[in-house]
Amino acid sequence: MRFLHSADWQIGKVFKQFGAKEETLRLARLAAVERLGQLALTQSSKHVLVAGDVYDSETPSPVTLRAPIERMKGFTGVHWHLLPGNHDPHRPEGVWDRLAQTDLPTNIHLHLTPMPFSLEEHAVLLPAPLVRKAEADDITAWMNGASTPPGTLRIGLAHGSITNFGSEGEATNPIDPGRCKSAGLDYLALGDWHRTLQVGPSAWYAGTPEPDRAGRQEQGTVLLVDLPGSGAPASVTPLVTGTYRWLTRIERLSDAGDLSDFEQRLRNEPDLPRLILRLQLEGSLPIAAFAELQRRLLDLEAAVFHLDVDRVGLVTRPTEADLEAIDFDGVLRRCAERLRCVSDDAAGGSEVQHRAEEALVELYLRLAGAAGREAA
Amino acid sequence: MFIRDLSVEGIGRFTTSAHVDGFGEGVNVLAAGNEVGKSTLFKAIRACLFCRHDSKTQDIRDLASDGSQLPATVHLTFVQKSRVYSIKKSFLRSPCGVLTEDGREIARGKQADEAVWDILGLRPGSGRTLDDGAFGLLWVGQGSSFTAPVPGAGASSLLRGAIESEVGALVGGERARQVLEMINAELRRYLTSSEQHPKADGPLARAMDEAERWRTVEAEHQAKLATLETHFAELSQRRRRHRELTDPAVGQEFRLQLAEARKAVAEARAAEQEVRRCEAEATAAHRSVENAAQRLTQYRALSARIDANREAEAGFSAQLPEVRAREQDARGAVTRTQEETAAVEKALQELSRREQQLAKLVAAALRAQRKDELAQQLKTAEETATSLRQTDAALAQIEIRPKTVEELDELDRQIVSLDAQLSAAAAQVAVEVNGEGAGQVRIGSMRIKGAYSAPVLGPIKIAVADLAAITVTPAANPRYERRQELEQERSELLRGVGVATVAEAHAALSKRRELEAERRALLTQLQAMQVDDPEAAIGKLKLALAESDAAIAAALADTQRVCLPSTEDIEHERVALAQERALLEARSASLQETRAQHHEALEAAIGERRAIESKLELIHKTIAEDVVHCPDSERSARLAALAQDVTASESAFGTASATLDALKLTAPDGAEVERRNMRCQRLEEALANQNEELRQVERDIGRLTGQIQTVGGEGVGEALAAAHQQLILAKRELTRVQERVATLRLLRDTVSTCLAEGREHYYAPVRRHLRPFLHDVFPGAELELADGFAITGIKRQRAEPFERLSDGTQEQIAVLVRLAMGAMLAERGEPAPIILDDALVYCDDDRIQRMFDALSRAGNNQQIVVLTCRLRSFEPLGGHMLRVRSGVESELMSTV
Repeated sequence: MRFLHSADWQIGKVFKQFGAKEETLRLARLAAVERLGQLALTQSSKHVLVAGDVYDSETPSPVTLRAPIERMKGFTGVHWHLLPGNHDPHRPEGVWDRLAQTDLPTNIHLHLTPMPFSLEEHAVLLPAPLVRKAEADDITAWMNGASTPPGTLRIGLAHGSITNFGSEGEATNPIDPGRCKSAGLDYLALGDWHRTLQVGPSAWYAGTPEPDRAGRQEQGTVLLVDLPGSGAPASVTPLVTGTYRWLTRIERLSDAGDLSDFEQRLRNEPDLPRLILRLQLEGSLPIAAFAELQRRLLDLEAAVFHLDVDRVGLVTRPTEADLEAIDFDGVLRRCAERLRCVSDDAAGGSEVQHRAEEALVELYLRLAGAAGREAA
Repeated sequence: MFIRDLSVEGIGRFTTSAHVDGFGEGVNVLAAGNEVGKSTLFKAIRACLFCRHDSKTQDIRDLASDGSQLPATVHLTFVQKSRVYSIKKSFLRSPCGVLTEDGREIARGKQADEAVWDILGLRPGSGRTLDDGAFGLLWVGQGSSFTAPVPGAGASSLLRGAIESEVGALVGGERARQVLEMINAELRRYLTSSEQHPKADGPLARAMDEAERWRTVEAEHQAKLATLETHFAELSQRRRRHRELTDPAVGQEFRLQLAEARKAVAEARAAEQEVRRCEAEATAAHRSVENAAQRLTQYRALSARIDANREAEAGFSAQLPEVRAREQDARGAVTRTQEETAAVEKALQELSRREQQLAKLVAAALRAQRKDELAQQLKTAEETATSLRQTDAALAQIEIRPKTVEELDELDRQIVSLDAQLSAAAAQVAVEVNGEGAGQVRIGSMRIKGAYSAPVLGPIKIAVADLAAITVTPAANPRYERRQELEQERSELLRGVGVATVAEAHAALSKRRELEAERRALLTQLQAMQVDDPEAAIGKLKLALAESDAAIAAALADTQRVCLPSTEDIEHERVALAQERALLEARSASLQETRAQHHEALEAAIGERRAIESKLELIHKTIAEDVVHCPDSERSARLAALAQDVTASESAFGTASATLDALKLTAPDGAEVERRNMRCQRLEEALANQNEELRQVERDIGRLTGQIQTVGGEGVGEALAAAHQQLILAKRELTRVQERVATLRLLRDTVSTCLAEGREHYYAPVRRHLRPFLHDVFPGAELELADGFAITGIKRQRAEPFERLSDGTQEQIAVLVRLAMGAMLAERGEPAPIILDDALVYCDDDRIQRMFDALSRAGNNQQIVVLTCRLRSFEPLGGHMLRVRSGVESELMSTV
């Protein structure tokens, strides 16, 4: 028995922080669905199990509702098994009822009730749909009592957090880590965590096929699962499905000499046009170097799909050369000196320090020539 | 520089040569009235020093005298760096310029123009303009003293040179100002000019609006989503209830309970109906018993009534004859009483007629008494009327009035006065006739005997026998003519009132007054008689007398008498008639009472008779009717049959009552019936409620389904997520802009502070020079100076913006700053005169004294020239008094 295990498509998710690129990211999530279909074909997998959160919202727009269906529809030889998750729980007249009222093709199966579903002659799917956003009870408990013919493969499908196994998931729906054993499951396909992760001998989180946030899953994946037989261990192979990589880097800078290496390191990342980079800068830089950093970041922003820079941890430390660039003496030099004193004085509070620092940089950029202004 | 001498010709009012003399070091004052040409002299100095001799600018043309054929010439002598220079320029006509140094010509024409500038340290500006340097700062034209000094480029350069030689340059000041301008320009994009609010449509306002807009959108979508959540919850609840309501097992149980309840109610209703039927039968039997008993009672009562009526008929028939006899007696008595009453009434009528005749006689007697009074009144009225007519006739004869007499008295007084005056002034004629001549001498018609002396008031003719006639005529005298006029006037007045002399006039007036007094007495008498018109009153009195006579005659005729009885007779007759009336009225009253008693007795008799007759009639009728129902022959048999009916009915009633009691013992009681009914009703209502609730739940499910589908179809979840992210972005942008504004403000404030500190240091020399002058006028004050030596305010007890000060104070401060700048330049060895044309106009008495102190202080270091039209106000300033002399005076002075 071979199938693909996916989850957390979250179709319809919005990416307003990306501005005009938002639609590209939304379309990338749909493209991932097509990629899943292609992988199913190429990997000879008749079934794709989606462990919840197909939609980002339980009230998607009509177009959003139909968009993944249209993608799945093209793969007539593949059976798509969709499960409600905490983002799209099954409630009366909710998203799933709306979907059921559309002209769904026969290869798309909505698992809206906890009832065994025969995948093949000797394989049964035990789905545990969520009917509300948060469940206090373990919705997979029913699998323990679900009877199947001897020798049949029992495959669980659920969306929630494995109890006592970290807190990465969004859902508060607890799932017993011993469910595979207690329910005699040959495989438990889980969703919710945006990360490919094995949480038991036969229990896996598939992760999302197209990431949607930084700090979790860098690239979209799906799990190719082979079950040789009832009671035999599963063979699980992650396959790449995502278009965009979500990368988070923490860089420490201390002087102008670090800038070149810093840029080069980032430019060495593969496939920059499809890189979504969150850059967290730390350390301190002279003002002139800070201006140079600004220029390099501009270049880098133009190179990647999206650059998000967090400069909170990076402070500017004006050098004598910086101050001389403002003026050797006189009113502006005294002004610069005064701002530096304020930015160095921790007694004034970080907010005041930061403001003085910004003002000093502003003064520098206004007086240190065209390069500085361009960088600003 | 020090101005020593000035001459002008063909300039403004100075069409001929004029010379200003008296220039000296320190303070110089040219005090002259308006339109003397002070400002013209000031302009002439400026033109002579700063304008090219061949200039034809409008200022130069305005400087020339109107209609003058001469060139506009200015000749100025000044000392600069110990050398005496004399520059003479002629403008417009035959223009020329000559410059001498210590009496030696050193330049002419264009060279002279420019040589002067070199000497004064001035530099040409662009084109033909000239930067007048310190002179532009220190020479203040008419009306310009109110504005704060704004040094031009040359003056600024001089001032900066002076300052920087002492404290060095203000490094970076210009760049700092540029930075400030840039920052302020950027801040103005974000904030209003007061920086209290975001600028409309600026980045900050837009960011705030955007954040607010997305906050609103998010709230709207959240509200929609919350509504959707509520709908989801309600729908689940309704569906659960729907399942409960449509549960088949529960429905079957419910229907069984209802069927049993309905059956129990039907049974109870059947039992109740049977009881009611038996009760009706028992009631009917009881009613039969009552009817039979009633019929028996009624028949017995009918029998008894027939017997009683027959007995009463006999009694009434026996009473009737006696009652009729009493009625007849009563009628007779009534008739008799009526006859007696009629006789008494007739006697009373006769008595009334006699009383009326007696009343007429009484009235006639009264009229007779009144008639004498009327006759007396008539006589008095007639006599008074006659006297009044006579008095009026006498008054009509006397025409004189008191006023006329007064006029006559006045004329007499004047004539007597004139006579006295004439006598005093007249010559005396004195004649003494001796014995022999006695009678021979006449004066007029008077023969003189002895001595005679009299004043000659008019011509006097003295005849001496036939021997001579001597006429003495007094000299003409106006008083005499006046006397004649008065006498003529008096004569006319006397003639007018018909008397000959004034004494007669007085007598006539006395007579008139007596007659008027008499007339007033007569009128008073008539008023006492209440008579206004005597003739009318006399007529009325006569008419009243005639009426009295007629009335008396009529009374005598009516009473058939020839004369009126006496008062005593009348009184006797009236008493007799009164006694007779009293007797008749007493008799009449007695008869009335008797008659009423007889009537009452008659009515009682009639009533009694009619009552007996009526009763007898009724009894007859009743007996006849009763006998029809109860014939005497059948009475006993019918009574026995009715008694038997009563017995049978009582038996039937007993049977029905026993049956009813037995049925009541087995049928459900009222409480049981009510309980069964209530239970059935409750179950039916519960069923109806359940059905209604089911319909309502189905309606709610439909409604909620539609609402959920509608909201779900709108993609509100996606919209909310989008709005939430937009809000985050908007907030982030707002924070960024706010931080940007805060950064710019901090930078701006820091640069401003540093610049202000630098400026404070830079202006220290200015303040040092300014302070003595300023404290002369404003003790303890400090000026606030901005870039370009601009005055921004003054600190006294508190800081005050310069533009908020009064015009007078602004002018005083502006002059003081000029004095300070002049002192600062003088200290550098570049003294320039300070010229103030018509300044300090709005100074009060105290302030102008202080300003004079400041001017005197400035005069210690440099030349001060004050041009003013306020001669007396500027007297205390002291200094050199300048005078303008015409050409002739000048020549004379110069010759001397």
